[in-house]
This record gives sequence, C-alpha cells and structure tokens, in this order.
Amino acid sequence: MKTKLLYISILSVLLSSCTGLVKGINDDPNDLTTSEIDAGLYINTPEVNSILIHCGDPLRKAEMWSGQLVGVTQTYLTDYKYQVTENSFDGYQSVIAQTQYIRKAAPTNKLYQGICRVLEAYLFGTYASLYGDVPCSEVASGIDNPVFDSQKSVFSYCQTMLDEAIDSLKSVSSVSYRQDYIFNGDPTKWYETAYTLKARFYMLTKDYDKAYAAALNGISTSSNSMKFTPLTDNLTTNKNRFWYINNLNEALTTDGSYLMTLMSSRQNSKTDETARMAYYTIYTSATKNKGIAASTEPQRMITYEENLLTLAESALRTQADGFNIALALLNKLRIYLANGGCVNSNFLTKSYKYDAYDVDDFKAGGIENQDGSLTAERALLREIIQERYVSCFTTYIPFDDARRLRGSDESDVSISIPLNTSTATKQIERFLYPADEITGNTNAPADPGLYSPTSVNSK
Amino acid sequence: MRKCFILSFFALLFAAHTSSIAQTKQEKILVLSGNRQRIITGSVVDSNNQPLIGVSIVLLGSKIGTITDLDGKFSLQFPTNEGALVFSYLGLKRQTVVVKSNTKDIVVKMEDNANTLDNVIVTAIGKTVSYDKSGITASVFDVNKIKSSGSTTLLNDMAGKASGVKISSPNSDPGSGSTIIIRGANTFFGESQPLVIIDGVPMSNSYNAGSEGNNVTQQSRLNDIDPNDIQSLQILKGASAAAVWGSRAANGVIVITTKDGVRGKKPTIVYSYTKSFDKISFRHPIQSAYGQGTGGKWSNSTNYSWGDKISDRSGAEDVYSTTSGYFVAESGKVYYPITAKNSKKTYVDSNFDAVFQTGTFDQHDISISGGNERATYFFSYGALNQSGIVRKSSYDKQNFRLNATYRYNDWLKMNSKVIYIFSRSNRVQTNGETSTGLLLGLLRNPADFDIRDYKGTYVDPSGVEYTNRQRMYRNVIGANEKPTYSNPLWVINEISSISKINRFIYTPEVLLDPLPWLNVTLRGGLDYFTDDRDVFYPTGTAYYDGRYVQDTYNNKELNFDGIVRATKHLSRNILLTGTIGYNINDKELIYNDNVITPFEVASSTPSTSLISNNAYSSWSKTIVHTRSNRFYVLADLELLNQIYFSGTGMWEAASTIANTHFYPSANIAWQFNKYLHSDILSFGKIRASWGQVGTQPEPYKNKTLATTANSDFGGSYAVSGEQGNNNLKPEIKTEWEVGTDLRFFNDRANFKITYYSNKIKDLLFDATLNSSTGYTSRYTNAGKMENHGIEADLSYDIVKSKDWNVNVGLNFNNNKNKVTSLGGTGIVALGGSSYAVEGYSMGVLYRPGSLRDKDGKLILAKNGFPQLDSSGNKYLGDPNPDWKGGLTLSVSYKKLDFSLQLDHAQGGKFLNRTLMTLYGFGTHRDTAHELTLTEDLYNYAGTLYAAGSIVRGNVGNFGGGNVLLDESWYNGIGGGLGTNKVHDLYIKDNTWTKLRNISIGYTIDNAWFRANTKLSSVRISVTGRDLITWSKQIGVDPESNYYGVSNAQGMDYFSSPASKSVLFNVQITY
Repeated sequence: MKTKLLYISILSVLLSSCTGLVKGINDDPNDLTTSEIDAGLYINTPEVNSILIHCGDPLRKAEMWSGQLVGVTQTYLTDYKYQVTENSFDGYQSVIAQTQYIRKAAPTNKLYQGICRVLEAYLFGTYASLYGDVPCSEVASGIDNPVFDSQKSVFSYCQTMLDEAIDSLKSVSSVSYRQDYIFNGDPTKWYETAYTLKARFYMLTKDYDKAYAAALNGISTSSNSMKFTPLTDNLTTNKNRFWYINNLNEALTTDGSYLMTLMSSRQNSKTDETARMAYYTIYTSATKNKGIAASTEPQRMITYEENLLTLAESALRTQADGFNIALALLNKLRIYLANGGCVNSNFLTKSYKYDAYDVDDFKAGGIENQDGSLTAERALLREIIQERYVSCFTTYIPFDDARRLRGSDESDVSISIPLNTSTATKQIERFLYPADEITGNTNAPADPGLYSPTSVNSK
Repeated sequence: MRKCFILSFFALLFAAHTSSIAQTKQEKILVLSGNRQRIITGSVVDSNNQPLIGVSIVLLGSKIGTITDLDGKFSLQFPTNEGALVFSYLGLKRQTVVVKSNTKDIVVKMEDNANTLDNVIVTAIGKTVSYDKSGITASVFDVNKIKSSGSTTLLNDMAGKASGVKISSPNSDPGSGSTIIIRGANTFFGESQPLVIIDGVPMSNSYNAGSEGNNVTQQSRLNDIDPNDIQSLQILKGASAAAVWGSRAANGVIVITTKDGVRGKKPTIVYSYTKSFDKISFRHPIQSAYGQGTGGKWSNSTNYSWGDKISDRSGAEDVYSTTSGYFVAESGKVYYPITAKNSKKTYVDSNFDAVFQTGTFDQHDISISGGNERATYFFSYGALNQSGIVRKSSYDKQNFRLNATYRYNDWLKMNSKVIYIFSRSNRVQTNGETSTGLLLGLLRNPADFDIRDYKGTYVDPSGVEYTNRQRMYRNVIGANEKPTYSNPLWVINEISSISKINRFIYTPEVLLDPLPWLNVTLRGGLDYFTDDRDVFYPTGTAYYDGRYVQDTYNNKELNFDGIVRATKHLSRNILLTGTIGYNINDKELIYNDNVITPFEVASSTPSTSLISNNAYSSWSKTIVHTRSNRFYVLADLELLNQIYFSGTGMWEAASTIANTHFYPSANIAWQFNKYLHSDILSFGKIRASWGQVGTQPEPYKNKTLATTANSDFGGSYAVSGEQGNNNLKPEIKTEWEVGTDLRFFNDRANFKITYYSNKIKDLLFDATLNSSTGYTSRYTNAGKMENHGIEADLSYDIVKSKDWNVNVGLNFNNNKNKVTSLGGTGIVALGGSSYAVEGYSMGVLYRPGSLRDKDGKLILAKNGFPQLDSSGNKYLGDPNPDWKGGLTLSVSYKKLDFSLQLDHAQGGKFLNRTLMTLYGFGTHRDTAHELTLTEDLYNYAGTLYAAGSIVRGNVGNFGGGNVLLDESWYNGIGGGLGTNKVHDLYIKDNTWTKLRNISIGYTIDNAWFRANTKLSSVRISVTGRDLITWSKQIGVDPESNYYGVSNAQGMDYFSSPASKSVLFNVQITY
C-alpha cells in the first residue's frame, strides 16, 4: 500500500511538473488580450455601434414601413415593397458583449456602469419592440443557445437596467471624457436619456402612468437630446446615415412619403410647416441634401421632443387635469419649434409658424377638430400623436406608435398610414428574426411572420 | 481494367518463379560443433570477407552478449552447454548460430539484407527493433531506390514506394514542397503533414506560405536533407507506433536515421555526380488559328482570342497609328498601336520557348567515412545547382554533415550529428490566381501577339517618355503603368522572389550502459533555420504600384529526450523490457513581414529607398511559440519467443492544450509459423494494434482578444468577435488495425496486409456562433471524421540466382475517408473550392454548377442549353482516389541492373479550371474548330445558325438535341472568368498511371579493376523520372494542385507545370 502511494505521488509530481513547464507559453505575444486594455478605452465601441444600429438598417426599415421614407433602389426598394431582406442581431456582439465586458472589468466605475446599462437597455428594448421575444437574459453569458425571453420580460429587464443606470449616473460628478462619443462624460445627459428611454418603453407596454412619471425626469432641454453627431473629416463612413446610404446607392427619399403628405395637410392659421418640410426633405442625390440628411447633420436618437410629447400623451391619458397639462406641454414644444428649434440654419429663412393652441382649437369646429367627430381630448391626443409622427422623424417612434395604436384600436387618433404597394393588405407588425439565429439557436421559436403583432401590441 | 492487368501480370511472374525455388534455398542456421570449452571465440565478416566491427552477439534467451572488436573478432563467456547465438548488425541479415557442446571457434559471414521488409525498424523513440517481433506497421523505404529516383527533393523521391502513403507534388518548381498524406486526411486546419524524426529528434517540415500565399510554391523543409546521408527511412503509419509523440503524431511519423562511420574500417570515400535534364511534361494546348478579338473580328482592345481567322488575313504589313504614342523596346524596336491586323504570323511556340527551357541540375555528393576501435566518423558534402524548366527559376543548395561517435569504455558512448544547409532559390510567381502569374499571362496571350520586347519606354502622343514600362497584349505600347496582368517575360525577368535558407541541425547523444540489464539514452536536439525571402515587384508590374516584400522566418526547435530502458527475464520464456522516458520540445517561429508599397520611383532596383515617406511601409511581427513535454512508459513483453506485446502510456502537457492528456497504445504480434512446419510459408506473423494520437490546437486561441474597431470614428478597442476557448483539447485519432506479415519460399516472397480503421474526434475549426452568444465564432473541438482501408505490400524475388535477380513489388491502398460530423455547422470551407461536408470525404469540390432535377438530370433551357443553378455552391465531386497502387520491378544480371516503378491512382475527381478559363478566352485548342453545320443550330445567345453556315466552335448535346458551343457559351456559363459557371460539366475522372521511374545501371568492381585503379567500385546509371503519364486530363498533370501543400486538392488554375527528367549518375567508391 505504501509503495503504491509512493508511485502515485511520484506520478502526480511528474504530471504536475509537466503542466508547469508549459504554463504561460500560450499567452499570445502578438495580440492584446482584453484585460490588457483599460476598460474605458472600450466605451466608444458599444456607443458607436449602438449609433450605427439605431440609425442604421433597422431604422430605415421602420421608417419605410411607417410612411416616412421611400426606398427607390436595391434592397431599399425591396424592403419598401415588403420583400423583406434579412435582418441581423449584430448588436449582441457589437454592443452587448462589449458593455458586459466593460461592466465586469470596471465594476466600481459608476460612469461606465451607467453608460453601459443605458446602452444595453436601449438595444434590448429596441430589439424587443421590433422582434417581440428576443434573447436577452442569456446573451453574451457563455451560453451557446440563449433562450428567447418574452417581450414583456425584456422590457421589464430594461426598466431595471435603466433604474440601475440612473442610480449609478446620479452618483457621478460631471467629467469631460473623450472616450464617451455620445455625451462626452456628462452624467446628467445620460440619466435624463435613461428616463426618457424608460418612458419610451412604458409607452410601448401602455403603462402610461409610469411613462409619465419617468418622462418627468426625462430630457429637459434640446441640448440634452441623444443624437449621433457625424465627424467633419474627409471620410464618408462616419457621416449622417441617410447621407451615407444615398451617397452609396441613391436609395432613400421623402419624395412620395406619407410624412410629406401629412405635413402639407397640417398647415393652418397657427401653423406653417414650410421650413420644417424643407428641412425634412431627403433627396436621393446625397450632395443635394442640406437638411436632415446633410452629411454632417446630427441625427436624432432619443430627444427632448420625444420626451415632451410622451409627457403630453401620457398626461392626457392618466392625469386628473390631463387635457390642460397635455396642451401646455404641446405648446411648450410649439414655442420651441417657433424659435426655430427643429431646423438647421439653412432653413431659418423659410417660413415657419407654431402659435400656441388653446382649448377651443380642439373643440368641435376648432382648427384641430373641424369636422367635430372627436371630443376635445381625443382631438388633442390626435394632434399629439401627429406631432410625435412629425417631430420624431428619423427615429423608431412613428413605427412604434402606429403599431401601438393599432393594437389598442385607437384608429380615431392614429395616423392612417397608406400601404406601400397596391397588393399589400396589412401593415407590418414586426421584423423577421435573422435566419442564422433561427437555424442555429436550438432555443429559437418559429418565426411568427411579419404581420403578427408582438405581444405588447396584441389585442 | 488496369487492376486486372496488374493482377494477371503478377500471376504470370508467380508461375515463372516456382521452377527456381530449389536452387536458391539458403541455409540460415549453421550448426557447428566443437569441444566443451566455456569461452566461445570467433569472427564476423561481411560479404566481401572484410571484418565487421560492432556486430551484436547475444545468447538467445538471455542478456549475455558482446560485440565484435576492431578485427571483427569476439569472445564470449558461454554459461551453458548448448545454445544459440544471434548475430545482428543494422542493415545486414540477422543470423542465428547454434552452439553445440563442442563448438570452439565460429566464423560467421553476414550478408546484406536484400529484402528490406524484414529489416529492423526504428521506433518512434529512436530504438531499433526487429520488425518480425513487432505488432506495429511501418513502411521501410529502400534507401538506394530513393537516391536513384531522380528528383532533387527527398519527398518526391519517396512517392509511390509504399502503400497508404500518398505523396504528391503540386508542381515542379525547383525545391518545392509536396503534400504527404498517410492513410487519409486527419485534420481540417491543423498540422496536415507527418512528423519527421531524424536521428531521434523532431525536425521541422514546415511549409510557410508567407505573404505571397500560394502564388509561389515555397519549399518544404524536409527537402533540406540530402538523400545521400540517409541510412534508413521509414514511415510509422499507425497510431500505435506513433503514440509516444502524442499530439504531433496524427499524420504518422517519418523516421530517418542518417549514416555513421564503421568502427575499425579504413576511410571509404564515395563520390557521386548526377546530371539531370528536365522538360515540361504537360502543356495546355493553345490554338494558332484565330487572332485576338471578339465576335470573329480582330481587336487589340479585348482580352479574348475570339477574333478573325488568321489564315484569312492578307499577309501584308500591319497598319499602325503613328499619332497615338509608341513604345521603344529595350532592343530598340519601336511599336506603334496596330489599327488593322494583316500579318499571318503566330507566336505560340516562340512565346512558349521564351518562357520554358530544358531545366538541368548538377548534384555532387562526396562522403568520407571510417573509424578506429573507439571512434567513427561520417562526413559528407553535397552541392546542388538546379535551373528549373521555367527560365530564371533556380535552386542551389549546399549541405555539410559530420556524424561522429566515440566509445569511451564499455558503458559510455557519445554520438554527435551536425548538419549545416545553405540554399538559395528564385521562386518564380508561376502559380494560380495572381495577376502576376506566369501561366496566367502566357496562356491567355493571343496566338498573334509576340511577347518578346516586353520592356521599354512608352512615349505618349505629346512626346513625354515613361521608362520601365511593360508591353503585353492588353497594353500594346505600355500606355498603362499597371496592365491587368503581366507579360510572362516580365514575370520571369523583372519580378524576383529569392528565398535563402540557413539551417543548422545538431543532435548530441549520450548512451550509458551502467548495468547489463539497464541502459540510458540522453539525447538533445537543435534545429534552427532562417528563411529570408525577398519578393520584388518593380513598378510596371500588373496590379501593384511597385511592391517590395521582405519576409524573414526564424525557426528554432529544441528537443530533449531521456530514456531509461531495463530488460529482465521474468522466467525462461518471458522477457520484459520496460522503458520510461521524458521528452520536452520547444518550438518558436518568429516571422517578420515588411512591405514597401507603392514606390515613388520607377526603379527596378530592390531597395528600401524606393519611398521617401514611411507611411508607405508596413511591418508586422508574429511569434508562434509552443512547448510540450511528455512522460511515457513502455512495456515490451516477449513470450515463448513468438508472442510480442508492447504497450505504451504517454502523458502529455502542451502549451496549446488545457489539461494533461493521456495517450495509450498497445500492439501484439504472434509468429505462428513456428507451429506450421511448412515448406512454402517460411515466416508468418499476425499482428493487431490499437492506439491514440492527436493533433494540437493552434496556439493563442485560449483567450478572447482585444481588437481595434471604428477607426472611422477615432478608433476604440473592442472585445473580438472570436471567442477565446480555454478548454481546447487535441484532436484525437483512435486507430485500430489488424494485419499479417507472411514470407514464402524461404523468404523470397514477402507479403504484408493490414486493415486499419480510425476515428478522429474533436476536430478543430472556427465554428460560427449564434449572434445571441455575443460572439461570431469560436475555435472549437467540434468535428468528427473517419478513415479506413486496406494496405498491402508484396515483394517477390522471382528469380534469384548467381547471375540473375528479378524482384517485383506491388503496393495497394484504398483509403476511404468520411466527415461524420461538423457539430451542427454542416459545412466548413477548407480554402478555395475545397470543403468539408458532413457525410462526404474531406476536401470535396464545392462550386456553382448546372441546374438539375432530383435525379441529377440537367434541367435545360429552351434551346437545349444547361442553366446555372443560382443557389450557390454545390457538391461537384470527391478528389480523393478510390485506391492507389504501385508496381516495382528490379532486374539484375551480374553487374547490370534495371528497375522501373509504376504509380497508379484509380478514381477521384479533378476540376481543370485552367481549361475552362482558356475556353472563355478562346486560346484553347478545343475552341479553334471550324465547322460547316449540317443542321440548323442555336448558340447559347439564342442565335440560330442555318445548316451550311461555317462557324467556329463545337457541336454539343446536353440531352436536348445538338447545340452550337461557340464564344457565347464558352464566355457565358460554359467557361471563362468568374465563379458562376457550370463547373460540374468539367469535372473529370482522375484515374492516372505514371511511369515514376525507370533506371538502368552498371557497376564495375571486379578484381582487375580494383587492382588497377585503387578504387573499390564505379557505378554508372541512367534514370528516367515521370517519363510517361497516362491520364484523362488535358494539358495538366493529374497530381497538379492549385492549393500547393495543403489538405485542399483536386483543382488546377494556372498552376505551375510538372516536369519529367532524364538523369545520368556516376558513383565512385574509393
């Protein structure tokens, strides 16, 4: 027995010395491993990737499927005609894997923790809105086949994330931080955005009272809006995404879009949309664009306008004195517009007018309720929804609102967006899952198809 | 058909043999008698009656033994009354001498072991064992046949000589590497070539494609070894034999032993000189009937040769434009752009001759060997000067070797082997899909364009001169600084690709025999080489604005083995040899890649001053360092002198592998002939073995790396999409085999047959991950593959008499490979058209093809033409042969000898994309037929040609009636450039037979000659290599491979051509 033990111990000593001799040799001498780099140097990656996704392909589809844009060439044309090309879950790698790494690598840095959580909630929430059930809780966690969490649970996960983000960000004093492409290290802008995002997701889940409460702390001034600001160098790839696509493919235009039709119908004695329409016009010839699709024009992501109008709609729906609160908020936006707040300096010479509305304007026979078919409350709500459709151009709000209001049978106030082809019979309710994920992930559900409403929009 | 032929040929030889058995029966066991003395003395001589020193003499069944001294004498304390002494010496036939009670003095004459198959083998740890007493399979190569094979590279010399070993040379570029596949493919992306063990130490056989990819076929480092230095060469094919090398042995092990001097022998000087003449063996047939142009009209602004019929031209002078610039060639000749082509001159042959030549090489080898009673030495020097069949391609190599041994006393011996190799070669860009490829430019060139005067000065219409411009058929006056591809003469003369090797291998060894039953081996090894490559593309080259690449490889491999071996008789009939060993191996490759581009100056001098701005240069450095160490235990058991069991357990820790891995193996052999007292069967053994070997993961895949991202936005770091995997295991191959070794008619016929079957699991590749994992791919153990097959080798001395010797040999292998799992990925691209697809052999061809129904029938378009299947790549065929076989014949009459070797591959598929592309270009012979239609026919474009029309093309039929295959088809989906082509219609069976070798020689060593010249012998021989190939491929060697040294195979695309040679050799021994 003793000799046996001796042999076993000799053998184990030999074997452990074996592994000892090769230890460390496989540390890559040619490349940097993740831990060799300060976590902060990663921050720009998920930020820029988040911009590229939220201002990129999914946005263009959402815009084309909500009457805002017209696709004229290549895949933009086929997408426009609902011959849908493939989508991608690339944000899981380009955003989530990055933020989760940063959060793990710098657990005590409150700014990084806050920014990362906002970016995560932003992506998961957008995906949940577009696709319905999506992988969330098991994403980038070392699991090869992450489950598809229910849409509602993803939204509640996002709310928790945003609450945690707000806690972190409120404990940080403002620093100038070059690695933060979006807000340059300003924690206030980040947590205001987080509140507006919370409000956006509550609107999607029709938790209007919570949306109102969140939006009260939301983006407080237009300069705090989250926007993608293009760089001013010679490259084409870091420019306004509409300009970039048109520069490549002459693919997108507002010409013939329902947005333009609607805006021209909104002219009344208190309103002149001429300047804003001109600013909003997108020409397929990239260089012709001086407005919203000019090469260095900042691009809206989560805005002051959205926050005001979320407040207005949710107040009207939930607050005791909702009508007056909502009207005041709408007029607050109109004052902002009347001060040229929505267009760039190239268009200030064009005419614009946004006089404050009063109660009478929404009563039967008023300028916003001429046929008298609605109550004043519903007429005001219709105007707020229209204003969201116009003010939130180049964001997901028009697509989200259209589906939300279809889901709650509010056709009296919703915008009647026409179909893009004569053969189509229904509006698109969701994006198709990426084919790779459907075939590769053993936990992927069957795709419900473009026309099946997601659970938050189901009747 | 061919199989039948070979079988009947062999049957005939067999019948012829039986008459000559009786006279050649040899007495192997000598029965001697003598008195009852306890000390036995004697002497041992070789076949020339020269004393043999160092012959091992062992009393059978004991460990009592001795070795012969300087005079070949020995004396031995003989403990028993009677017994048998076994005399053995490497390379000579082992003899057993029965000692009776009265035996006193013994004289033994040991004979050369003509039949190598029953020779000793060297195991994976460098120990010699008798093949007859082993359960492993090994192919032992006849070193003399390797030397006389007529190639300058060791690898190619080994081709076709053993079953189950497929060695194919992708092309004939001097010194180029070759692919060795033993018993089928074992890995997708891991090391695909066998481990080479030279004198007990691993030697790098790396093939570094480098920055130029497979445009240039680089050398194989095994070719640094001079075949003249080799004493023995064998391949351990099975997993059981190779298991001690664990994760490096999945592809088999090549074991090479180099020569030593002989103790007590006077200096022997051997000088050998070989002169070779090499010619291109396959030429793509190029037409001379039609000129440059399209649609039957001459034009020099197109890349095609679908122009006018040259014989219809007037034959007058061409008409030039003198106002649109001109080209002044270096010869002084002025070229203006032609506006009307009248000349009937064609240049197909002169263009070819400007590029190709009769290649030659001169190989000188001299060796001096000898020794005294304590020391031996073997010194050799070899020099090779080769000019390839492509002009300017060259390979010059010099090698020095000194192998020395010194015996201090009875228990301590030291060996030292040192080799230094220097080589320099110019590796012309001959290969494949590069705009600077030689064949690409030559074969696409129209018949009516003369490629000479390729370099000169372009003068533009305003009189501005541009020097160092290139003229080619798409750049007729050099107006374009960068033509689409290059004139072949520009490639040869202006582009250089120099590779310089300095290599040093040192193997010191200490052998200790402290106790009669115990010996210890301590062996070190250093293999160090540098490969400096200078690739220069001057301005004026296609594609590049000047490019100068300097790649340097620094490769160092250090190895140490400690082996302790003990032998013990457990009982009278049981002999146990136990071995424990430890090995540590450390490999480091440092690779620097420096590039300067674009040049600011149009100079043709390779200089780093061609740029003034450092922004135009780049540097990358890559270090690849791996280390492994292993501890192993071997037990060899001999039972009753007839059953031989061997078991190995090896624990390996390697830097690339997460945990220590255990590799077991076992084999058993039984010599059953002792129970069959047959006159026909002189030896019989059955054997079985089982073992595991592996392939190491790539280094540095264990951690997720940081990459850079979004440089357009100022740059940031990102977590790479490739997820690190810190749980990597080696790819494990588990193989079992059973076989038998039989010898008949007193060992004149020798037959080996083995069935093997292996399963490889945990194959590594980059598996695509679900996006939701947060990563795009992970290098992971996920694939499974298997091989099985039969290997058979037969050698038969049909005639063996004093004057006549006739031997015939056959070998056969039918490896079947199948990829059984790709871990859900379904398909893995191996490179180019080569894929691993679940359920198919590895490396199947996968490309777009024609639209077919479920039964594989073509779905034709309305005029009877096939359609392209737009769904993308599809399975086209399996390039792996159904079986491979070889036949050797050796005949000698007195001092005259003759030998030949045939190599055959049956089945397998080949895609000749060169031919497809040339069809599109209209330069291929097959496109130059002029037809008078006998019926109305549609062409691919849908034009109807009435009966009686004279057209250029061919009549085809895809099952929907005759159609006209003309320019519109060959440049449509039926050929030409691009990937969307009906490749399946060009897949061809790749059965081939090669006359690898045919040789005749004469040796002069008679007494008169020796007395009058003081020389021992002179031998002269003539050898033909690859002189005849029977193949269905047009214009290309069936073994040609666009992918070079790679697992991918079965396709040609403007690959470098193969060659055939005639060699003259003279060898003088002093």
